[in-house]
Amino acid sequence: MAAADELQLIAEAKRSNHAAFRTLVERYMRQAYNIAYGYVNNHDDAADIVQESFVRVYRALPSFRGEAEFGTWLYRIVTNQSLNAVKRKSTSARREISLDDADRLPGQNPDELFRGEHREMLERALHELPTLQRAAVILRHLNGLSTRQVSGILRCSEGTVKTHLHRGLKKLKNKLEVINNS
Amino acid sequence: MLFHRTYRHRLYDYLTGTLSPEETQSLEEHLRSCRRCARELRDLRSAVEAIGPAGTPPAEKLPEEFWRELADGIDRGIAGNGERKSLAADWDDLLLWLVGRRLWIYGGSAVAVIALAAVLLLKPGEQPQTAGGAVATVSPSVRPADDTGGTREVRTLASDYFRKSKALLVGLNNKKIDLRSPVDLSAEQQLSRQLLHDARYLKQQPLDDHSSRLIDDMDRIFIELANREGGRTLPDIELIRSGIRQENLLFKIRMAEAQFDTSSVAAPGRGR
Repeated sequence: MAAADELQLIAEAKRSNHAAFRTLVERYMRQAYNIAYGYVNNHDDAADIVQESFVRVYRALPSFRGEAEFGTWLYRIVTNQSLNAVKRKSTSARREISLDDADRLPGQNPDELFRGEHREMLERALHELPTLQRAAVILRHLNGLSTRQVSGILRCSEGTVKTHLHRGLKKLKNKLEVINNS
Repeated sequence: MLFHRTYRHRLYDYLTGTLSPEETQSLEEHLRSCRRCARELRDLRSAVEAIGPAGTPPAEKLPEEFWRELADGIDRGIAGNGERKSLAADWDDLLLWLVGRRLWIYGGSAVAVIALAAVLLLKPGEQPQTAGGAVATVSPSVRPADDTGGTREVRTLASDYFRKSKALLVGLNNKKIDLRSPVDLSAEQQLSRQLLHDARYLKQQPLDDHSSRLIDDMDRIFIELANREGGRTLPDIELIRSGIRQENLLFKIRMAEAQFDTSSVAAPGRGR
């Protein structure tokens, strides 16, 4: 994506051009959904978070000065919304809906079932990590963002992000082993 | 020779291939002699690999139809809750926008014109209590000035008006909004109506131009607030907030308050 193209879209959206904002939405909503889903493990909640985040972004767009990339700014809002949602939700509710999500997958074969189980284990382990470590791992490894982008979203230095990643991954490995053995 | 801790800090970058060739070579030499770092690297690698197979982004599982519906939902969310169509426009455009969309504004304007005509029919200097039909435009909450204490009375009323207006605008500006539920502004609406009545009386008094204009500016906000339909949420409030900010009303009110400060001349029995 050309940066100039995106700046043009943002400028148009600031002038209440809905089509321009819709283009930005379509460009970023999948990644925003992935980030939200990484936190809440739940399709409906993730969709709600994405929707609410974009509405907030639209309202706050006049104050967006382009100091951060649009995506970084959006993902920061998604991350904050997701963390708030996680606080509100109980672990049991998350697990219940995760099973619902698994039911949505059509025609599961053994490989898919294995991946589903693996995914569920990973989600459990991830949700036991401290908030910032979890955020760093989700953003960097589940969503493929760069450490620079993650540092922008979490508002800390890249070095701090790497420390969170290092510690988070170590804990994740230990937790996965415990879950696997139990 | 680097410290062990420095090498440890580089393990993640090594794993993700972001070290320079020199740093990579140096770390690999260290790994050959340091079991602790080698074990740490294995742990990190296995964690990253564990994420890998399950790392199919959840978004990829969803059909295009879902994304279309989600984008439509965001459009609706903006139209219903977050519309800021005229927020960037100046205050006059904002009012034009309101007028263009709400027929009741015309009704309110007609009432204001009639009230203004009634005021203009009064002879200069004539007091409202002697003005027959004009009495209906005077707020019951404000007492008309008498011949002897008129100036002090007006100052007190103006001070009271600005103080209440400031409280209302600050409260409105700080009101927490829940996107999913209607906002109860009944108390604010009631106070707006009272302030509109008070303003009508004040506008009949010999105020300076700044104060008159400020009262006119605030009238627009109070009319919008007083006539606001029940159950509406963000657009109305955001428009009003935008008006407050764009007109720098709180600052102007503070200046007016200072101008009409009656602490030393306040009429007995009328608190500030």
